[in-house]
Amino acid sequence: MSKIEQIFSEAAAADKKLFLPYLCAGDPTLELTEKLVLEAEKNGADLLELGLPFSDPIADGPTVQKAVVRSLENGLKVENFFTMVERLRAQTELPLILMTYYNPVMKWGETKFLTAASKAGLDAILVVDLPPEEGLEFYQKASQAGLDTVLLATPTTSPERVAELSSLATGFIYYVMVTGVTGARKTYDEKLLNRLKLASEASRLPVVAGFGVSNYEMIEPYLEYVDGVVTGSAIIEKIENNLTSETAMIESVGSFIRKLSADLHRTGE
Amino acid sequence: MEISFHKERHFGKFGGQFVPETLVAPLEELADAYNHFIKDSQFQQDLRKIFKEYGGRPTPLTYAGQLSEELGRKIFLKREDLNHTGAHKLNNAIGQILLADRMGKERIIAETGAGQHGVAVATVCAYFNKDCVVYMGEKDTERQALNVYRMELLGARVEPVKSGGKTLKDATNEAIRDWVTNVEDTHYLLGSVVGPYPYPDMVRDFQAVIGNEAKEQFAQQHGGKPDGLLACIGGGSNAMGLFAPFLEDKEVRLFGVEAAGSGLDTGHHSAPLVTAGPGVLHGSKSFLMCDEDGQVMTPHSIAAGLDYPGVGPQLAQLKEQGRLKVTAVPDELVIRGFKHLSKLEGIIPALEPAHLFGLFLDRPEWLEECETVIINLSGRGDKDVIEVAEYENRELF
Repeated sequence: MSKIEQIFSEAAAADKKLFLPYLCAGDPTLELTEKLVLEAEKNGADLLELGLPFSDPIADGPTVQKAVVRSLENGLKVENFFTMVERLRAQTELPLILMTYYNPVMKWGETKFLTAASKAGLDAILVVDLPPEEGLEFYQKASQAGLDTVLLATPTTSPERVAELSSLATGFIYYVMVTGVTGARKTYDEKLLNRLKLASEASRLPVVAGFGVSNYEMIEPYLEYVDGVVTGSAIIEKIENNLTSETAMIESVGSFIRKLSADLHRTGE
Repeated sequence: MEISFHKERHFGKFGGQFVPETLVAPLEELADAYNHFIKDSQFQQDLRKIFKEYGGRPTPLTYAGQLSEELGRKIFLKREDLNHTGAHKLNNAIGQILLADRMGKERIIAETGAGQHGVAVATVCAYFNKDCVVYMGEKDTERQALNVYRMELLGARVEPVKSGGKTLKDATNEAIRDWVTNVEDTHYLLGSVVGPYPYPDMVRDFQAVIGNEAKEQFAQQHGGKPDGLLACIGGGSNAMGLFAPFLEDKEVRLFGVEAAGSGLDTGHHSAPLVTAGPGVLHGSKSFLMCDEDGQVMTPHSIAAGLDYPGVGPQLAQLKEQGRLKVTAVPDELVIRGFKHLSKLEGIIPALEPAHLFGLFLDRPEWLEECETVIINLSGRGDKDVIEVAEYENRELF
């Protein structure tokens, strides 16, 4: 049983909703990302998504775009990203999910990239612009390299397709809560609840909700149908607002994660 | 539908649909509509009517006498510069707006670099009474203020894009993000033979009117088939439009010219076919200018219409197959070619096809033994006159 499978099955048994913060690696530096990951764990993160920046992130809104620019302008290299993950792995068992776009993977070569990811200690991979139609071989190779695979489902994905996606992926289904790009929002579309319910019923894997989540109240009505929640842009905003003080940044990110994870963890009780 | 690999959505190892899940269903809807209407006789009849009565087609095939004499080859110019709005871009805009209308989409979005495609889209949106939003890099809105104003006159909203290098690539990212957000009522009118399937096929098919006309005109005016076809390549829509009807004619050779910008060795160019390897950007796999980590480079060309780091996937395949011969021409030669054709034939070309005349000044032998050549004169140079004057430090106002 993989680490990811295990954590979801334990959570399901305890009726506990998991919290997955998202951080953009290298925003503002890899050293700080390392510290922020450890801070996230300390404050209740159950798993963590690490974004490996790509210059043209078409699924991301302004907040993540700016994080990507900060990271790339500070000289992020894929190799250094893997080295940072290795350093993290020596300090924590927190399951880490790599989220990126296909071009960096392709440029490195699928096998070389997956081997490096696995060796560094990542647990799963999500490639935003690689639908399974284009990535059947890639997702197999990822499993062979010992990585779980995560596929996206969205409000435009039919329940039949969700069922198929969930038999191709091995980790979980990442349900995109909006028809749109990443970025903190205040509310969701009224049709969402039913679509999410159908997707959740169709999925053979755990379902994690993401995109737009900025607080507990807005996600609360949907928790019945999901196993976990991702928050990205709302956390990155804390980084963006505290670029001049490392201490304040870590404290601000930590307290946001502490509150949201505590709320989520209370849900099942 | 069961998830499987779709060979027919690729051009060999290029093409495909590398998109976030949100776009999988809308692309399916678009592909269904396109595959249906491309074979629908009423649609084709309507398309021909608009081409003729609104677009000004057919465009002439002009024998360039003095240029031919100079080169010792017979050169024919396919006059896409005479299209309404001044470039071949209108053909695709007309085709897609008609399709969008059949699909019941009331909102149209587009990306634009210099503004030629944006103007074409704003034009057809006015003609079809559709809402129109054009994404344009902030840097381009400054460089091409005139085209921004033209689009606004036509009723479009121009949205300046402030991300990345603030040019065409970034405008395309933003248009895709808009489409991801508004897929239900919006058609994304992509301007070149790039992007995920069905765009490379669809844009090629709407532009193929160029090659179809040229083929017939050449047979009438000269007889037989040309030995070679020559076009400039940015995304590649004017090239594919000319080439497509000749792909089965193996004896007709295909030649393409990319933008060498400040020089291929400077890194400031837009020549992915000549310099780059495979990569994935904006939904398809093709040749792509990027670094060893896959981060996409900012391209450069004096011709904004060629200022794109990628290229259409079918052109990538034709190059790999050895069917297409490609080279690149630097800005400095482009200016000379621009002026040369203007004086020689009384036609001011756009800076994009001016690359072809720059090539003749430098390497006339590059077309090898071709005696008869059709050139796609993809647009007129009115839009570039100020830029050329500035390049030569000539004050106009």
